[in-house]
Parts: sequence; C-alpha cells; structure tokens
Amino acid sequence: MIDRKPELRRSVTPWGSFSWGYSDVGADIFVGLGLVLGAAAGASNVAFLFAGIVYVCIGLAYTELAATYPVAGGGQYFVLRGLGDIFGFIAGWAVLLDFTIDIALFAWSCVDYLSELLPIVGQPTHPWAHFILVVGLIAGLCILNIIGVRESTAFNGFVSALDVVSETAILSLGFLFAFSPDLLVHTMTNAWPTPFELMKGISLAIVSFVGLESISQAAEETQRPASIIPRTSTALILTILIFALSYANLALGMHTWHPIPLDAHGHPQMLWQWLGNTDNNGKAVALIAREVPYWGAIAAFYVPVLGAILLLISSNSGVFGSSRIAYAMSSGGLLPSIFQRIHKRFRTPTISLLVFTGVALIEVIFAALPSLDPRMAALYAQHFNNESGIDFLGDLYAFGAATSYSFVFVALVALRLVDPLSPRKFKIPINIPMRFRGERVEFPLVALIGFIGMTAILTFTLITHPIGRIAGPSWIAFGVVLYFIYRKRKQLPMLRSRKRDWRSEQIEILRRAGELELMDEYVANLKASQERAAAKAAEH
Amino acid sequence: MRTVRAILAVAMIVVGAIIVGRMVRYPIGAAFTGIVLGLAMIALGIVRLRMLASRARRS
Repeated sequence: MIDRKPELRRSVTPWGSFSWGYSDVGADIFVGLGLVLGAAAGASNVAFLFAGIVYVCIGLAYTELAATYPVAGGGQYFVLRGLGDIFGFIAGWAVLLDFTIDIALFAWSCVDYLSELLPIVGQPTHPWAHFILVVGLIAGLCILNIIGVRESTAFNGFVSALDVVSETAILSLGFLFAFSPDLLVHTMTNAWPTPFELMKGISLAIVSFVGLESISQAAEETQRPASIIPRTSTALILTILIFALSYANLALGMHTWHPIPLDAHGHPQMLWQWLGNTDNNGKAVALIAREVPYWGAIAAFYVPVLGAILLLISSNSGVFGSSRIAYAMSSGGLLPSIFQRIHKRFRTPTISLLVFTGVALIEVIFAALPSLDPRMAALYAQHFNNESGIDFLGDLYAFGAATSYSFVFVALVALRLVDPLSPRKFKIPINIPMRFRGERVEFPLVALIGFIGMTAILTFTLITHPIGRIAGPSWIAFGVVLYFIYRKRKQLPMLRSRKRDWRSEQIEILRRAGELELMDEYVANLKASQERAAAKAAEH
Repeated sequence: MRTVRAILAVAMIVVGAIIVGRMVRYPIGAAFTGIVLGLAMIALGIVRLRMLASRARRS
C-alpha cells in the first residue's frame, strides 16, 4: 500500500501538460534538423518519417499507459509494473541518462544561440564565459523547479505558445512562397545517401522526437489525468510530427531568398548541404527561417532568440523530468529513499532536483573540457575518435532514448496481459482479442510494430555511433552494479521483484488522481473477476 | 475565441487535404512523406475539433 505521505500537488492544466511535453521535444528539432541533413542528405525527410512513425507508436503507448497509471516516473514506472524491478531500473536508468544530458546539451545550445546577440559568450572565442553562463542557467533552472511546478509550468506554457505560433508562421510562409515539390523530388533523386548514412540519419532523427517522458511524468501533477492526458498527448504527437516533416521537406525543396554561400572549396551548394555542414548544423532552423521570402528579414532577428528560449525550457524539462523519475524509482525501491523526500513548503522533490542537476553539471564540465584546455582537446581527439564532448552527449542521448522506449513497448504488451482489469480510458488502436489466464485481453499490434522499429533504431545507433556503442552500455552496466549493491544492502531480492499489492496501489493511484469513476469501475472489475474465479473453482 | 479555434482547426484539415492531393502525383519517396504530413495535419485538426466540441458540451 502507498503511505499517506506528502504528495506532489496537482496544478498542471491541460495546456500545462501539453507544454511540458512540447517544451522538451519541440526544441529537439532546433538541434536535430541540421544533424540529420548532414547525415542523411536527400533522404532526410525519409529519416524523419521513419523515426516519426516509430515516435507515433511510442507516443500512443505513453498516452495509454500515462492515462491508465497517472503517476510520476513515466516509462520507468510502466516497465517496473509490467516487467519487474530489474528491467524497471534499467529503463529508468536509461531515461535518467537522457534527462541529465537533456539539461546539459540544451543549456549549452541555448548559450550558443544567445551568442548570436551577445558575442562575448561565444563558445569558440570566450569558452570560459560560455561555460560559466551554461552553469548559471542550469543552477537557475534548478532553483525554479525547487520553488514549485506552478511557476515552471507557467514559464513553459508561455514560451511553448510563442514557439508554436512562430514555427507555424515560418513553415506556412516557406511552403507558400518558396517551396517547390519538383525541387524536392530532384534533391531526393540526386542526393540519396548510402545505407550507412541513412541509418545514421535515422538514429539522429529519433533525437528530434525525445520528450514524451515529460507528459507522462506530469500525469501525477495533472488535473483529471485519465481524461486530459490522451487529448494533450495526441495533440503533442501530431504537432511535433508535422513540424519535423515540414522542416525536412522544406529544407530539401525550398528556393532560398538569398544566394547560398559557396562551400569551403569554393563550389556552389544546395540549401540542405549548407544547413547540414559542421559550421551551421547547430543553428539550421534559424538559417532556414532567414531564407523564407519576406518573413526572413524579421526571422533573422527573432528566431535565434526564440531558439535560445525554447532550448532553455527544454533544459528545464530535463530538470523536472530527472527529478520525477528519481522520485518514482525511489518510491518503487529501486533507488535510496532520500530521492523520495518532498520539501515541506514547496512540495517538490528537492534532493532529486539537486542531485541530478549536479550530474548534468558534471556532464557540462566533461563537454566543455576540450574548449577550456588545449591539452584536453588533444586527449579527446586521441581517445574519443575525434568527436567532441557534445558529440559524445548526442550519442548517449540517442542510446538512452532507444533503450528506454524499447522497454516501454514490451511493458505495454505485458500490462495488457497481466493487468486487463485496470480501466483504460484510451487504448492504442488495432488490437487482437485473445484470452490470457482466464481473462479476456487485447494484444496491441501497434506496440509490436513500434518495438520492431525502435529496435532497428537502437541497432542503427550502435552501428553508426562509435562512442555511443561503448559509453551507452557502460552507463547501463554501471547502474546495474549500483542497483545490486543497493539491493544487497537493503536485503531485497537482486534479480527478482519485490512483492507488491498492485491492485491496492492502483485503487490508491486513481483516488489520488481524482478519477473516482475509474476507481469504482476498477473495483467492480476486480469483484467480477473474483466471482468468475470462485464460480470456476466451484465447478471443479 | 472558440470560433477562431474552430476555424483554425478546419483550416488545418483543408490544408492537410490539399497537401495529400498534391503529393500523390509525385514519385513514391517524396509522395509518402508529403502524404503522412497531410494526414497528420488532418488528424490534428480533427483532434482539435473534438476537444473544442467536448469543452462546449461541458460548459
């Protein structure tokens, strides 16, 4: 049973729930577009499409699970409940890796965008100023989250609205005045990449779709989650998919407003080549906006600012997400109980916030070392295959997302089989009815398709990212060792799961969520199931 | 405000349908991404309309 301890307050509205997810995943395209164009060239839209279809599958899985089990922790909790303690820990540990990198990577990129207006914080020329500002931003976000979710939700909501309006304007005007389907077809025909490049592009494209964890974590703090989460989550999935596919198609098929500069060798280049080169791939969205006829004159000034703000709130989502996952893992006996402590006044998980923001700061130091010290730059070049600290973080970001999402698909199938009695206000479409342990269940075909797609992306990541394939599994192995030590100290089963009364817990979850009708429905389902079992026993 | 939102949702459905209609003429690689984009816009428009309708019913 869940103790009546201090609870996270339910102050997140429908828009707040949408903006928590949007603020995290919406910024990814600002970083991901240039990277995918650089890797997948004329097939960038296909790379986004492949990753986008898998993203829709995982988005629907999260929607169903978050509406059914509205608790903090997202994917980690679903895997814990569906597959047991050890897999729940691995999924949570992979997500924690992603969120701490999210904090570091997006705060770093935010300062890069700011340097367009404040050259004094430009990373190549003033690395210490850049580093200090990144650290200051992360510390500021930590304080904001300690003060309370209401404040940070309002902050996210405002900037998300601003970004949705702005991106819609850029894309609409780009397609209206500068897009040519014939040029798109020409680019796709003449610049089709090799299979290796396409695999790398797809593995980078999934980075542009990371963020649904936030909305499922916000479920514990959302009002009427079973009703609100499906609506906000579906809108979020479609919005992000539309933006990603639109940017990719526009980049491949747009006639630019200004002539494209020559490449390093003095040869003419296409828009996608210019956006995807190493000088520009970090600011591709700002550059494409500048090339939209008429609007580009204004966009050149405000898009870098917008990019910086959005990247900042994405970093903020990382702070929020990592603390909530740690809170949930602690509640489930996977991490020490200190991560479960809630501040008496602010009712936020202060210890979790401080610890995982600290981990993000260590990652920032790791990423910044080559720019701060030339000797470290030489060391990185020698041992990290010439990839910089930020490349290393990007590799791990893709690895963490693909690993945790793969587990969530399996957990969805498992929960459909072992917990058919929990009311599901939203169900993934296309299900195969069957019987399992005497109960009627539905096998979700979309989850199987998504799992195959996500496993393919994980494989592509391991094949095409030389650092990620070593560092990612090493992170998991390190976590598993810590997990075993913790479980041994607490005299808990190492490989098996702790015994839990999931039925009582589900009743308590629905009560706390204010979903009293669903709670009654669940209790009635349990009673009917027990009666069926008793009747069957009497027959024998 | 609700009317403006409804008009925007309908506009999104119309634009999505136009994109699907235009892209079906092109080779399969380009057409497929365009069609998925158009269908996603239609779906989002429908989701928005359903949300508005449910809100209107509640009030």
